[in-house]
Amino acid sequence: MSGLDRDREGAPTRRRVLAHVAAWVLGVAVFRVGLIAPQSCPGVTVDELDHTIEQTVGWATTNLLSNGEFLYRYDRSSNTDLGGYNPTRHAAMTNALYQVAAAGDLRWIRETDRTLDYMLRNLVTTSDVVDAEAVAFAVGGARPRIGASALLVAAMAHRRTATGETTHDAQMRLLGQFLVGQIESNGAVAAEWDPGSREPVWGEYGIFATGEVAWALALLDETFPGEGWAGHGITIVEYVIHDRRAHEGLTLRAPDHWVSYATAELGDKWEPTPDESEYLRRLAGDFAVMIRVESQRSGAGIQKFLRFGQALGAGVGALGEGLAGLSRTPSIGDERDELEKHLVCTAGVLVDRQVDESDVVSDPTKEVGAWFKDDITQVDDQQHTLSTLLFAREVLTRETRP
Amino acid sequence: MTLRAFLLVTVAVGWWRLPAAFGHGTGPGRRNIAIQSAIVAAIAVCMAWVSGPILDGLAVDTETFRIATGLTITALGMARVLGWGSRPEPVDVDAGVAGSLWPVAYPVLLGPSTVLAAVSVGSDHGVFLVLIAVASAALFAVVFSFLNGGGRWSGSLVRLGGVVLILLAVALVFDGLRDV
Repeated sequence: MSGLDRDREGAPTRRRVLAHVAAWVLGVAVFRVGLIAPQSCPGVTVDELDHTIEQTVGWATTNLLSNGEFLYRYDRSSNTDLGGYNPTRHAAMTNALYQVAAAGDLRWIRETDRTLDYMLRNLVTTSDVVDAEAVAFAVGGARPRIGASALLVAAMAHRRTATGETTHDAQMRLLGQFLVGQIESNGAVAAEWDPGSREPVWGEYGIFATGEVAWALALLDETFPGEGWAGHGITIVEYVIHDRRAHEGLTLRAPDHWVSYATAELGDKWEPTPDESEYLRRLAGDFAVMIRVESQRSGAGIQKFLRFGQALGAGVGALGEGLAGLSRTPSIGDERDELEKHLVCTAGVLVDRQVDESDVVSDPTKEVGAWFKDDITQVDDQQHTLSTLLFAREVLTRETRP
Repeated sequence: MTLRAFLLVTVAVGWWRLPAAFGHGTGPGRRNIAIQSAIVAAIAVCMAWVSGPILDGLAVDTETFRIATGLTITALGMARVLGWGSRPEPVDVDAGVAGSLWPVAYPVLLGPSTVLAAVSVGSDHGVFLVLIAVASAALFAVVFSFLNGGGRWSGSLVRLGGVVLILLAVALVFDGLRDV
């Protein structure tokens, strides 16, 4: 009499065995689908990245309007330009295009200069004091938002790197004065400037503007060494690490890719404490967790139900930017290989999801080279992704160099 | 972390459930218990040995698998705390090694927690740590199989084992999140 046949008076043993088998099958299925869905990090080559970058830049420059604005938001299901505009995103896209130029590809510099001219035509003076003159970028009489001016500085810095031209140095310094004037004594950054009172709007902050300003100031210091810009950038970064959550009422640590740009650009000019380095490691962990989750999103079937749809191109691109910035931050240099692995994974995900000729729904000019979610793309979907692709290209180029 | 990984594998092999599984009855004999434990240990070591190809095949990295393992073992630990697996199992004391695979080798010793812990720890720390851990668990299994599990204490032991399993599994989740 075997052990399996003994239990005749209770539940039949055979039934019990079947119940165990069923439980295992169900358990394995739930474990696989719910907890360890496959991570899709499609491998990419430098050539594929080049093609994807070219398509993205093509989307941005081909769809430029006559006044230098980008196609801002587009619905391919109805082939409709949805309108709207955001100066910060304009500055950010211009910066990304100049990052392409700074990486050595100057083919689109003329078109990018048109988008820069658009910003230079929309500068407002924010100080009447001659020796503290400052300007900001704002469109149509609106309150200047500091992120737009910060990213304009970044764009100019990358243009300067790409061309070697010093044409805009004076304006960069004036914009820098505006940025510095928005910093509170604790390192917080006022997100807007009020043309009525001619004062910063104290106490109002932007979730990403703070990091953008820190990065712009770090770039200014790199461009104009010895003028003290980095000190202001460091003040902001340390505020973000130590005080921002409490001061701005944030529940969680913000996954701020702009801060990681800043820490990378500051390099050895900033000597973080162990606590500050630990913050950066955790920030890197946030990005790494998010790209893991994103790489598990197939966007279809039960995975869409469990993990929701795929993120915006802008969201995935921002993860890559965050990973790239932190991978270049000296104080957590021991994490570099791991972060670059995630960065390349992010690039693979982006290459895989970019719209190419075979995916066109309405108008290839407005679709090819873009990233869509629910048939809508916005200029920042291309902006963040473009920067990430450039950083990933740099990693792969270095790895494949003989 | 290495100590925690060792403890996780040792506790994941459910030797602490044996007294409850045998109840007032007699276990299938010292020799059988030792053989069943050795079989389970061998399977766990094999799982640890092929953990790399398993994770490659599943297209997940070690940190993701570690977090998933931690979450699953936490759920299994909670089931033990709630009393699941604390009832006596049918045991054929005369059935020999093959006949007593149930319930000693399975389901008591070789449950999902054993498999997951072996793969996760094998992937993170290598086969040797898993080997030492399952050998320790096998030793505990032989010792505990001789305790009379008829009292209420054997159920309490299952609940206590569940609590320990939860603590170790939660630590595993945090290890995974930190290393991500």
